[in-house]
Amino acid sequence: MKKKKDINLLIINILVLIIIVYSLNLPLNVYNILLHNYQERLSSIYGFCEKESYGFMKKINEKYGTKYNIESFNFDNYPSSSSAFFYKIDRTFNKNQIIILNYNSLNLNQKQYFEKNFINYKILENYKNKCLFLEKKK
Amino acid sequence: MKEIFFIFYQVFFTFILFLFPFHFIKEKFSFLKIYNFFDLICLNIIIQFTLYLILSFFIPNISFLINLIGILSLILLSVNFSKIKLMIKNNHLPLWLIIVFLILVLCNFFYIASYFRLQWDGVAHWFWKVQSFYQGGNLNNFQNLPYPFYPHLGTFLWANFWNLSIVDYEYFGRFYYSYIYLASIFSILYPIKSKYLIIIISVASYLIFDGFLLGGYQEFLIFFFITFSARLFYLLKCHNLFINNFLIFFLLTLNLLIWTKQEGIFYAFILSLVYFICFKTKLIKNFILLFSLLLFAFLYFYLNTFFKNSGFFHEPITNHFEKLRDFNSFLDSFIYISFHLIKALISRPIIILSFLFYYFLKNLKKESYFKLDFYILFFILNFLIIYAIFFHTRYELTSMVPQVLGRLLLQTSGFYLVIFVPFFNYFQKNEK
Repeated sequence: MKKKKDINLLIINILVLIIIVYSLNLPLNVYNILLHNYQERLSSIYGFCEKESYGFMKKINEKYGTKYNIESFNFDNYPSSSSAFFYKIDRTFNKNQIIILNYNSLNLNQKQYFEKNFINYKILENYKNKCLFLEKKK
Repeated sequence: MKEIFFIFYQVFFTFILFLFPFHFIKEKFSFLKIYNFFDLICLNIIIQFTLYLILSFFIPNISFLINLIGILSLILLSVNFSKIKLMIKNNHLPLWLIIVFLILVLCNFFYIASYFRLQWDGVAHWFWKVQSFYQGGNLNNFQNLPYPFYPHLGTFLWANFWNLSIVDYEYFGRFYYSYIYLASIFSILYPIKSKYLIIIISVASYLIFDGFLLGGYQEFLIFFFITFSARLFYLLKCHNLFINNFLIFFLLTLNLLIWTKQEGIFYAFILSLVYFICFKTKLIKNFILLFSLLLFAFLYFYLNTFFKNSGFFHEPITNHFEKLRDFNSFLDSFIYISFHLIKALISRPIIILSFLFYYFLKNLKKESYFKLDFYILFFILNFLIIYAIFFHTRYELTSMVPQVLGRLLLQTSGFYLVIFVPFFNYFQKNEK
């Protein structure tokens, strides 16, 4: 009788554990890691020119950011700067360059803000008018 | 497949790392006998983190030392393996709990690995510091970063655990947050004498899990220190003789709490106040605690100013308290905060659950509802500080309360788990 009770308890324990493991998405997470490598997940999580725009930031930093850290400004509902991803402690920030992320020229507020703050800049890189790399005019 | 293998390796390494030193000297020191397996993991974490905190002021990269401790721990484990086998043979429960613990740790690690997104504060505040430490920068470099006054313990450990990872992926640095919060849950709930212990612990761990906060927030570090303080209070209540080593471990925990987040200093004072009021100990012990706490607070401000040139809060301590000056504004703010507090309590049911258990237990034991004990005093002070934070802030409540309240509740929710132990043990005793 006691042995039967023990087996029942063991089954209940295992069942609860399986439910919790499943609720914590373990199978799905393992599958995701097997199917998509780190770089693919990085792009899908932070986006190329959406969300934190990791892809665009990476492209600009590889091309232009060899001497300086480049500041960024995100117009969307994300932390205003995503520059921490590419921050190098041995470089200073270049105050004449800025990466603009998720800009929507059809949004009046954004357009006004852009024209007020970045009027003296020229565009060095442009991705669909949404992600831009700007440099101050001399 | 390589990533999967290294995640398993990281589970193994973290488990081995935090067995050092107390698991190997438990037999030699009688004062360690009252601690369970998971208490000792928590104590090891406290000791190791204190060492790492001291080193953080001088050496930005301590991954070699962490590796060394891991290897030493592995050697000691192999040497003592026969003793461990014997212990398991006599009592199967620790083994089952270790297996469940490792399964839950694995679930958390895979969650972080699959969805390693850094959330708002992670990107805006904390990751700057992690990058700085990871690239060998010291605390002086914080002067060039946003929010330099934020405490650095969590980010220092994050950078060093990232450094440890063989595949060099950032998210490996964040695994330790999930490991320590699970260790503290297991430690505090382990004394439950119920045949459903595994279910109780698993469900509690599931209810506390928050994937969003594993995205670069420091809340689980605070959670660990507060939960372990509750465990120490519980042990002090049950074992009066334990007071001497209680003071040492409690003080180390408070010090780490101060170096984790800005509000950590307030939690350290709240926990000390709970100790002063609810535990009748000799005056000299109270004096030692108070003196040490003030010294830790002084060191925190002094060292931050010395190394980072910035050691205070991102909001001034004194302001005009606009929300308290006008009655209508006070009432509106109070209602708004209370409404969101209720919402947050429902979304994190551990606190409500423990409160129900507390009053159910009082009712069963026919004890007075108004008797002040450490559980209820912490509850009152914790909720007072939540209101104080929002009445004090100069920011709009609408932009702050919905985002911050849930996190404030989560980081203290572990403390309330302490009531689960007498609650479930009461039924077990009556069953017999």
